[in-house]
Amino acid sequence: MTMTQSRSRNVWPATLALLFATVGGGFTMGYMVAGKKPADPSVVPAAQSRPQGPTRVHLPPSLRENAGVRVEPIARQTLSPQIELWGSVDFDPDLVADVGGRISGRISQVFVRTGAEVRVGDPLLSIMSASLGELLASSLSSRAQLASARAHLARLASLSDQQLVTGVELDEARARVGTLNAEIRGVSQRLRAMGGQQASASTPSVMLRAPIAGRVVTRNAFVGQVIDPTDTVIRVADLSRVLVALRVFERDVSRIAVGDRVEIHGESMQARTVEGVVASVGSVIARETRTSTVEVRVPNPERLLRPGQFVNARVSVRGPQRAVLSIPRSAVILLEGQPTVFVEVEPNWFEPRPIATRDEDSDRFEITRGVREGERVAVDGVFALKSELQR
Amino acid sequence: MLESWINGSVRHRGTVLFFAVCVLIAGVFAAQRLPIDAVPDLTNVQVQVLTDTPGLTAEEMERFVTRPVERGLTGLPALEEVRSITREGTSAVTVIFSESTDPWFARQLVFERLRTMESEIPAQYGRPELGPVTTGLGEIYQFVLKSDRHTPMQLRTMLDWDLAPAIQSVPGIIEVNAFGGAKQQYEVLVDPARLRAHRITLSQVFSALSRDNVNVGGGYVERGAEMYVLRGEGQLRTLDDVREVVVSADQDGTPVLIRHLAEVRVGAALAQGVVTQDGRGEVVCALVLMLAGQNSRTVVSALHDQLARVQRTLPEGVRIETVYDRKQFIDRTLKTVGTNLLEGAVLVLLVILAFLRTPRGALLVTLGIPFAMSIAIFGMLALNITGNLMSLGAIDFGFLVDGPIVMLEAVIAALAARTSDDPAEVRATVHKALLRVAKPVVFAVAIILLVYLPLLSLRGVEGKMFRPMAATMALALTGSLVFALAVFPAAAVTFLGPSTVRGHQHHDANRPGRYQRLVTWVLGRRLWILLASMALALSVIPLANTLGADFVPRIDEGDVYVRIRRIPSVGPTEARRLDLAAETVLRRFPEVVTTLGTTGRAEVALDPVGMDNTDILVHLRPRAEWRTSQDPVALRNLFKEAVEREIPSSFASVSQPIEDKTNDMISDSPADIAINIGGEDMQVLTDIGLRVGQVVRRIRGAGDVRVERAVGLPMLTVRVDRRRTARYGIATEDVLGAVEAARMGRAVGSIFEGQRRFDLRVLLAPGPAARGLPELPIGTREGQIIPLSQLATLEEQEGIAQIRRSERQRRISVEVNLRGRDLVSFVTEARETVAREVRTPPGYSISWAGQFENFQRAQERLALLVPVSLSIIVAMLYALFRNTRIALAVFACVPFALVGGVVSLALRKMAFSIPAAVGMIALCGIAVLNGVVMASEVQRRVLLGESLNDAIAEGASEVLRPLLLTASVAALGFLPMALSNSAGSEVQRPLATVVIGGLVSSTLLGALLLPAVLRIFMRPIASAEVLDRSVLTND
Repeated sequence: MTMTQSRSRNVWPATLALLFATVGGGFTMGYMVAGKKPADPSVVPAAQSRPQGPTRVHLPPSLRENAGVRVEPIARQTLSPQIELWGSVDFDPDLVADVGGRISGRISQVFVRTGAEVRVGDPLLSIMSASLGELLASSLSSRAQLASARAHLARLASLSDQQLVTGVELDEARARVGTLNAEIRGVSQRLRAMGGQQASASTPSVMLRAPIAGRVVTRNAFVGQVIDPTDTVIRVADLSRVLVALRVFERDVSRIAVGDRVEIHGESMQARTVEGVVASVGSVIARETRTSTVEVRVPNPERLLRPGQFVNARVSVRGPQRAVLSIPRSAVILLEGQPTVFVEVEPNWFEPRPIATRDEDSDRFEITRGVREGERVAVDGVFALKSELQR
Repeated sequence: MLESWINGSVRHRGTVLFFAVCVLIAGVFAAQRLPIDAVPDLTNVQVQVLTDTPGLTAEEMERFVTRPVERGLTGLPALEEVRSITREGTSAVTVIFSESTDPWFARQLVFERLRTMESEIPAQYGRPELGPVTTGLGEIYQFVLKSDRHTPMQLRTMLDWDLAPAIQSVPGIIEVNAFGGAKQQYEVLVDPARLRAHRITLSQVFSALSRDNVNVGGGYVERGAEMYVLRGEGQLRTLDDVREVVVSADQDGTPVLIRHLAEVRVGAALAQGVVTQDGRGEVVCALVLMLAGQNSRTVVSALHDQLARVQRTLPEGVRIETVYDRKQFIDRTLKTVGTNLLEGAVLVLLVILAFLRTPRGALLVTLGIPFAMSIAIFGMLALNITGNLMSLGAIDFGFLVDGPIVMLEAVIAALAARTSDDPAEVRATVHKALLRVAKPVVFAVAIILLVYLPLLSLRGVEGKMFRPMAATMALALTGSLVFALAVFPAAAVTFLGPSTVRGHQHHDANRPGRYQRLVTWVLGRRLWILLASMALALSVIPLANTLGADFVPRIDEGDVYVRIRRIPSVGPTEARRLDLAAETVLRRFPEVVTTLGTTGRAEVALDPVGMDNTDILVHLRPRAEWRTSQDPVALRNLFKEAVEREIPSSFASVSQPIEDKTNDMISDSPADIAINIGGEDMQVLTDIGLRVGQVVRRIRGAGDVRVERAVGLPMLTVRVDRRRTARYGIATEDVLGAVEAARMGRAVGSIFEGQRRFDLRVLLAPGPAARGLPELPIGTREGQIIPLSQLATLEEQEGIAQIRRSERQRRISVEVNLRGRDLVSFVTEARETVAREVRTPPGYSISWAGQFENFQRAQERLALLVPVSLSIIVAMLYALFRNTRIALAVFACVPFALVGGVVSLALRKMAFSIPAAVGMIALCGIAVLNGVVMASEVQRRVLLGESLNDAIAEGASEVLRPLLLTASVAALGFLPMALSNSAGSEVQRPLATVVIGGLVSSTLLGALLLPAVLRIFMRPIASAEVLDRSVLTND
């Protein structure tokens, strides 16, 4: 812009003012575009946390309802922590009986099939035995001899009253009766031991009878089979109670005590469980499996458990019985790596508290630090509180 | 030069008109080839490298995949930035290239590097792949697949294997992303107890299954003269095949088969996401992506055809339901644009008719519109500008006919004052009139054109939005200039004659006489008038400060995207429950047609998000049926409020499909301020973040502060204790194999059902008493079962949920939105406070970004652009008048045009935004038009020897009619846009409002003020008789 010498003084102030206004207007425009906040901020908070920082969190009632927040006062309660174990079912040694021939012989008759229910004394099988026959024969002859010896003795006794026999003769006869008596006793004892008291010489067989009430679980006998006195041919077991042997790893052995309640579940049991009580805790640890054995006595009225079966068990460890401060598992949430609960300190205001827990059972934790008895702790919908806190 | 153009045009008028018709016809064809989309594509040139490795934690993913990839990509040419997001199981590295890079070339570069990188990333950590070639506009269609007779898994399989390939065959479709339902897999559910019984370990099962599932080629055998190809077939095909696989043999030689150990069945893969619809339940959906640079309109209609075909082949009962359709948005926007343009054109035509009362002339002038548009479309095709709301939507036809109008007016005036009806004489009269106004007209139009050019230098988002507009407008103005110089003279000479002005009185007689008296009165009080005007102009500045500011207005897409963020630890079941509840809340609005909520990511993850992220696509009814609110912004805010008020654990932000996708891709934080903290240790970063958050919250104006939660993903780490595994004689592999098999299953191969391929996975059957991982059974070779807790320590910790990286550093951000305070002062104060109160250890840095960055950049640009535009105007004016004083006098009118713009914004309660600023810049150009026409007339008269006062008074009244005409034409041309309320009008409205307001003020003020200013400025010239004769040469 070239200026001629002819410019007059009253033009330039106006020109400059105009230029200034124009350029200034331009800059104002730029400023207005750049310097303002947008009319439509895209993020607005719904629930506010208190200005002093995220030490407390507020959950408006509308949200609280949808989040399902439920509060419970903390109370003392007995916990029963649980341990999960594996094991197998076995007979209760008190309720199982093996029946075997006490005598060598041949099985002549079997009265039960596997699975049959038997009462005490029910016949199971009979064994025909040659030695039993001999024994019976000798028993019979001894008895006959005894009868004659007794008669002889009686006669001698009456004769001696009349001073007709000598004392020696009488003594001999008396001794003979005594000997025969002893012989008979011995034979009957042997017969009894063979179970053949009722046997007759014509059928020299022994009847084996159920020693306990129960079920025939194994039968190793068929007619004509030769058995020896040491063989076991029938097992009768009462399955109304079984013993479950649980494998316990080293870390858990010391936590389990006799009398602890145990829930047993087996693959064949569908959703059902049965309960038992710890009968004994093993005192050794097997070298190769690194486990010890815990025996559980389990009433089995419905015969759900079968010996040999593989089962899972959940032992409720009682430990020393004591009431502790406890909260449901659902109340605890991990916050900044710390297990935390939310305490309602004012209506709808919650405070996160890191806690320390010691014991736990299937649905509760024992709290050792962080909350006091009677404080109201959120037990449901904790996630919503954590969300509000970390928004 | 100008004269020779006009002379040439008049001389060769036949040829010229023929070519003009050719241009128009070519324009029609070109318009059909113009790529059309609803909005401009704001995405930068980027290539995504995606890696999916299910099961790896974010930290491992970062170490094994993200970092090697980032390292491998350093030093690429034209590379601008590498950033990444790594989450559990997925890594997405985004490579951004400079704007001018060809996207295919960029992909080529990245791809080459990936090949060399493969050796650095062990195969088990996944294989990096390039993401689909798409942009923020890519998600063009979304549908759900429904059926009453099929299971979600069947639907998903159908979608994956039948529908997706069919849709992908449509030209322009790059990807069909299936999501939801259940992805089918073959499962071998191994029973630990049975493993124990057979003394078999899990690893034996794994290897048996992978070993047995092969086909081999064996070359060929010759039989006589023929050749038989030899092949060995062992591939598993059915569930029964799998059951019969031999694992091992028992002690007694009996083979142990899979069916002895496991249940084999068809199951569902562990889902990484959930899709729900309408708050009712889960559905199967698919997202269709368009290839970058395609014409959305053609692709979408081809897609519609294909879907109609596919629908017929689907099994009975299966139907495709559209959830999102870009076609609707495009159609709506095009309708808006089309209606506005058409209405504008009609208004222009009517105005010309009303003022000049010559249908023939009006028609000739209006022909300039299609002519200029044809030229503009040629240019757009050449420059690869897409036709959309911004490029086509902001054209004022009024501007395009300004030149011809002034020319026509001059011609009519000359014809009315003609002395003879002789055709040759008439032609000469017309010709002479044209020559007289050619120069001011050309300069005036050229000034408007040139004012638009600096806008081409806008950067960033605002550049992407407004450069096409500026370019198109400049092209159209060029077209209109060509029309005014070359075509209109030929047409005028040919078609305008005495008949044009029949019934026309010469206008000097009565009406302008009043104006002339007014001008004379004004000249007497010129200083007062000037001062009063300046006072008025200054008084507007406070008003301007009360306007809100919007950076770039949001274009209403007609659909809404509600993004819900939750804390990282949220589980899928809870997320699903909350989603259904949120959708139920949204469905209560009568405006909502349907909602589709996607939580987490699809199996083929394009978006690296986790379960803590839910996107709910809300499909709305047409605007006319809205009841809750007619304002899209208000409605969106109501959505947000409703969700946050009723749904716990949910932090909603509301956006729109295209907007959201674009923001995601350019990674622009939608927040006002994003404070990025860079460093290595996530915990330290989080601590600094929380501290910054605390500090910033205290600063006045901090409305909403959100610290990114990158840490806080609960993790259960199984750490194998080697001493203990040694004691039991168990291999670590067996332990970890069991951990893998517990939930996700170990993939041991694939099962093919024809074309379909499904994973074969081995899982551990959950035992009846299993209370979780500690009891997970591990089998030994001796047939023992050991619980996991006996062999490994299990640690519960909070791990890293997400690692974002940029500039080779991890970073987290604190997002701040302001309430009731301006950005600049807040940022200044916040920066100082943070610098003072937050100590960052060495290796950690704090940087500031966010929309505020864009504001700042735009501010700097505008601070540069406005003076540049103004200088251009001054220079042009000087070139026209060859006289500083006149140039300055005309220039002085500019601020008064702005006054009207500001007032009109304030009256309509609109925020000051970039389109408004663009309008203001355009206004500067238009305001000058008035001054140029008037000043050149005055100058002409002065040079002819009239006294200054007479010259001004008579010259002003002489040009009053063309001035009013051009102003009202320009204003009316924008009127439909200013009043439009339909889809996509958000951008046009402020622009049109500003221009209309400015035109009114500049015309009114100009008519009074300009004579006064001219009088003040020009007096010395007249008195000193310094006449530059050169300005007379064109007369």
